[in-house]
Amino acid sequence: MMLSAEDIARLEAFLDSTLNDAWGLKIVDQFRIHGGASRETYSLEVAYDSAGGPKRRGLILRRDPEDSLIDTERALEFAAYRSFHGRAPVPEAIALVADASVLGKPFFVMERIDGGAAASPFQADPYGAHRETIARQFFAHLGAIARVDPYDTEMPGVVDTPDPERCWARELDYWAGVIAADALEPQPIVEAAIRRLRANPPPPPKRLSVIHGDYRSGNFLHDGAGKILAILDWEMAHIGDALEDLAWALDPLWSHGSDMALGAISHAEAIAAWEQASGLTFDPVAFRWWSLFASVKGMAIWLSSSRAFADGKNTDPVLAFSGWYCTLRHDDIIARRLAAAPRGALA
Amino acid sequence: MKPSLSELLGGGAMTMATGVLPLLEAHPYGRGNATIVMMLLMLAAEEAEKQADVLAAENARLRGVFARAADAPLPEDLGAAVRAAAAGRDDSLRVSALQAENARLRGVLVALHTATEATDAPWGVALDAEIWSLLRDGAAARLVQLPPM
Repeated sequence: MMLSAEDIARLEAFLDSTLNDAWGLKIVDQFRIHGGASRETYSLEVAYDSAGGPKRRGLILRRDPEDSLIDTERALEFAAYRSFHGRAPVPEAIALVADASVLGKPFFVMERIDGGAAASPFQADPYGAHRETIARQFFAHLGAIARVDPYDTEMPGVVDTPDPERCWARELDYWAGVIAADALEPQPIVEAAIRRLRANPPPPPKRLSVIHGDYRSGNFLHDGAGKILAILDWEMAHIGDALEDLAWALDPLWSHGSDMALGAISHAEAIAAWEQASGLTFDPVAFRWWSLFASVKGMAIWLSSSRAFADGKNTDPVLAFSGWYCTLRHDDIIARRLAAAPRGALA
Repeated sequence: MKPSLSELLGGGAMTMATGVLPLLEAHPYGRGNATIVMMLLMLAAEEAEKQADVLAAENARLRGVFARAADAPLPEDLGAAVRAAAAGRDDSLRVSALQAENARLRGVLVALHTATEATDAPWGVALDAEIWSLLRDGAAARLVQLPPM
């Protein structure tokens, strides 16, 4: 799967005029990267002349598809990359085109991080001997993201800043609405979970944070030697309670078949790493709410995947897989949890 | 004796793994898609064997819950829906028919479950527990397993 010759020509002209100290730019290699069902993602190798002589550079192009796992604005994702580049291992965002003028669809371009790989979240032991090192970094980076004041980022310009008392309601209303709109059949388990969440609202966060929105195994590049190189997939970034990201990262779906955080370290160790880096204190009462919410949000994403695939809007097999396997897994995770919980309680 | 549907799908997955994926080393996007298709075939091989049984068993258990709720002091419309659901049956073992009936029954279950949560009366507490037991067992029965990767 490649960009068309027409797209390449337009993109070359755009990049030639956009990149600093670059002229005569040519795309010398390009291919589509698999897995980005929420965006078409392409790896580009560009060559150009500069004041210092001929140069080559690796870039990533993220272009909106016809349909996706997640309906978000590309300006939001672009702002998130810009906000956290230099604060965490996050690629540099280079250019955003929010209309159809260049490639027929909105897109943005960012730095390509070479030498890394993303794990499959469904692989048993993807980080091998480096699993514990990777896991500690993973939760420390998440804490570093949570530490940043949202008003010290570009995020308030592209997303709402919620009342801390209403973080939970805003997220739950949104994702419950997605489930109501997209579920192909009645969903008694997640519907019960939504009622349970509404009946047990969490305490508000002490302060707001930028939420990555999909911080999990599989959404970062690592070098195979114990170092996280790049945190990716910021398309669901927003402002809210930092426990939302922590709960998503610790959801059983992302634990590689174990009961350990990232399949590697205890939840207590993960939380300690997050607390140390974030400067926040873990609130177990609030976390119980956000951890159940994480599974509800997952269900919403998977049910949307099923809908998009069934409606024929997007036949990417990733959507079929997510809509089938992940739906069943999260249904099971929620059912086991709430069947064992005291009546009306979160856990 | 012909190969079963599960065997056909499992064989297709094996062909993807051994005959197709190795040819796509230089095509990462195509290889990624082929890998997902292989995984879907593996899941389908398991699903083909058990899906009708899982749905029929769940439908029967749902009707059992509705039968026990038939005399509960429910709102009139819900009570009527519960009694009608309890009296139903699976007239066809086609998966599409079982799925349609399952969706109808699960829709009634959502309403009944909501009603049981709104009361602390013994009938509601008991039905709530029975519904959670059904949901837990049903979710476990529907699970499909990915092979180790």
